[in-house]
Amino acid sequence: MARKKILLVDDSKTVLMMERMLIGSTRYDIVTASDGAEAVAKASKDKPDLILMDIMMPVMNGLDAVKALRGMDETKWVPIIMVTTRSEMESIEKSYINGCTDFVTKPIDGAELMAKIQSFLGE
Amino acid sequence: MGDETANVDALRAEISALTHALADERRLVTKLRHDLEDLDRHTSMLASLYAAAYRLHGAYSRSDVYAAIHEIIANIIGSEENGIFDLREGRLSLVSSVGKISRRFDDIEVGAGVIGEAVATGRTWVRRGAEPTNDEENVVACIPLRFDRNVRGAIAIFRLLPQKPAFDEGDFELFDFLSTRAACALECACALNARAPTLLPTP
Repeated sequence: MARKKILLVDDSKTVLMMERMLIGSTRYDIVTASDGAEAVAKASKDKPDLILMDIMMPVMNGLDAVKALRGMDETKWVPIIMVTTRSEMESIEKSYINGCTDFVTKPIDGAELMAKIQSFLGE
Repeated sequence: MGDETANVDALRAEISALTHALADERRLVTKLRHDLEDLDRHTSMLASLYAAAYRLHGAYSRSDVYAAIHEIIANIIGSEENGIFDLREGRLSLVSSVGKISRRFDDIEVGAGVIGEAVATGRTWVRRGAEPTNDEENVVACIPLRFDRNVRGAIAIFRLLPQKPAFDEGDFELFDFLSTRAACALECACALNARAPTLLPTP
């Protein structure tokens, strides 16, 4: 059975490494992107089963990237979990309005993140 | 009648045994749940330390080491107001910072305030208890940067993110790590910078 694919999007190498360690690259195929534009391009090409998306990024931020992904047939239904330092209600509301599926705040709680990933991947 | 009584007694005994077995299973499930939570915490801590080491020792210039420290504090500890101090001629100079930090912290005497005290003693200081009542005390943690047995500066954390109520065990491990490894990364960056003209760049 093919492994599920997860796209990790963050401009911080530290966060990408953390997420990779917590998720476990032996369980899933991991693809990374360091800004929203790269995320949209890679999602279209690699068709991940789930996306973890930071909000504050250069080139294209996470909110705009989510909006773009929801506008594409191949990614409109992919679960997108926003990973953000911003816990303000306004930021969370904007994320949902743009089409994200769920969110977690930084610093990342590994158990919470894995529970959400497994839930959205039907595991 | 005698048979019926015996049957009832046997059933009661069976119910009692099953009830005890169920209680044992519940205790086992609770224990396994706690063990799993401990394992998750341990895994998160190891992931944090690995990611921090990876980032810190992949930084080759002083400015990149500063950026790495701020990134680690923002994303792993949970603070977007922190500063890095360099020790120069007995005084601490704020060399890099993120967030709103009072100008009074630009230059600190060693031994003065919680930051100066942490550098003077070489020991990490963490606020415990009540919220600070004035600007001077607006530090929640101070980590001296120690290279071998010498202190070369400090990291001060001024405020945690709203969703982070307090430091946890993993943070204290990271403080110990940063205290020596961040100092080492800064020294290495300085040494590499000095050596750069003699090195052969890859094509």
